[in-house]
Amino acid sequence: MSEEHGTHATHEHPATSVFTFFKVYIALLLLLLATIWVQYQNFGGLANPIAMAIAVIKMGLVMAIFMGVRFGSKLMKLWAFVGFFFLLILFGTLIDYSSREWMYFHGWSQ
Amino acid sequence: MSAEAAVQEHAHGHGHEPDLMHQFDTMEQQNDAYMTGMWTFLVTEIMFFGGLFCAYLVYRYSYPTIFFDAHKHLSIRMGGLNTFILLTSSFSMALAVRAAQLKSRKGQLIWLAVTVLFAFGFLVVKYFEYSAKFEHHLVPGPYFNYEPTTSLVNNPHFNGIVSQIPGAQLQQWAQMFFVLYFCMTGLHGIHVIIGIIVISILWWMVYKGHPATRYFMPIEMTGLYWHFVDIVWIFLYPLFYLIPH
Repeated sequence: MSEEHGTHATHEHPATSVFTFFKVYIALLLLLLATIWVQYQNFGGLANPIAMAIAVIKMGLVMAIFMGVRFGSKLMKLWAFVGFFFLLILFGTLIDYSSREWMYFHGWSQ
Repeated sequence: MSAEAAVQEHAHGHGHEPDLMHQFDTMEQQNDAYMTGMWTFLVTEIMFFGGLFCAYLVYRYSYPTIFFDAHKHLSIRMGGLNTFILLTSSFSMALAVRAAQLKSRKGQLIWLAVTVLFAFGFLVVKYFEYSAKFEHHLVPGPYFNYEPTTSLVNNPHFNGIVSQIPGAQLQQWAQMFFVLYFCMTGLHGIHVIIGIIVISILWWMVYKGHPATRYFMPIEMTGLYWHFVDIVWIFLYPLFYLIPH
């Protein structure tokens, strides 16, 4: 992808080309249509993981290109990752809820 | 001495790098400092929303059927339109940052204005959605009154279960969905409003030729914030509007 490094505004931060941004934008819109399409299909238990996977891909595109993580320093990449690491620990608290039967109405969640 | 004069004097001292602040050695170091600061803020924002996403998961997996039923009161079209609006504003924000990197004043003014316009569009759609919830008594509080959709009542799989649930409990569980809906989309909406204020101020500063906007970092920071707001909505949309069977 040599066109992305065509214009150098500063030493280390090359300006991404308009075409690259446009491609990402179109990809995001297609993924939006895909996630709505999945909703109307009968994927059963897979529907939710697919919808979340599409959301994660969309987030990846926005972070990598729009937010410039892909062209950022290693420090920036580390920091972009740190947020999700802490989020994982936060989501670890769900183990507590999943181990408590009294949270559920028996027969309701099948 | 004004900030501009200080920057210029500094530039004369070194002969180049007019945007390099005196506490930094190189532009790389300065950029890293800006970036690290902004990403640290974004990490706290991720944790801020993360707590609410956790609460959402707990209640959705506790009451999946009522969440599925309650989500039918949200419009997939309205939510989809808002997703389209936010993705588009993210795209225009990326172009605004690019214009700042290339030092194009006109580009910055155009794309920042487009971003703010789309952000207002988002709020307009949200206004119509929220007001419909008030009309239908779906706002949590004393006037909350949830009626299960006919598809839930007629569903042979759940019909027996629904009739077993005391009415008050059904109301509580449905209310939980709307409590989470209003908390999460409301907090996101506040972020959109803050974004509009920040981007508008930035637009004015670029328009007036404020010295701070000669350097692309302020607009880059604002861009990071705005893309973050977009990412939060990317997750809110499927979680609230697109709950599968």
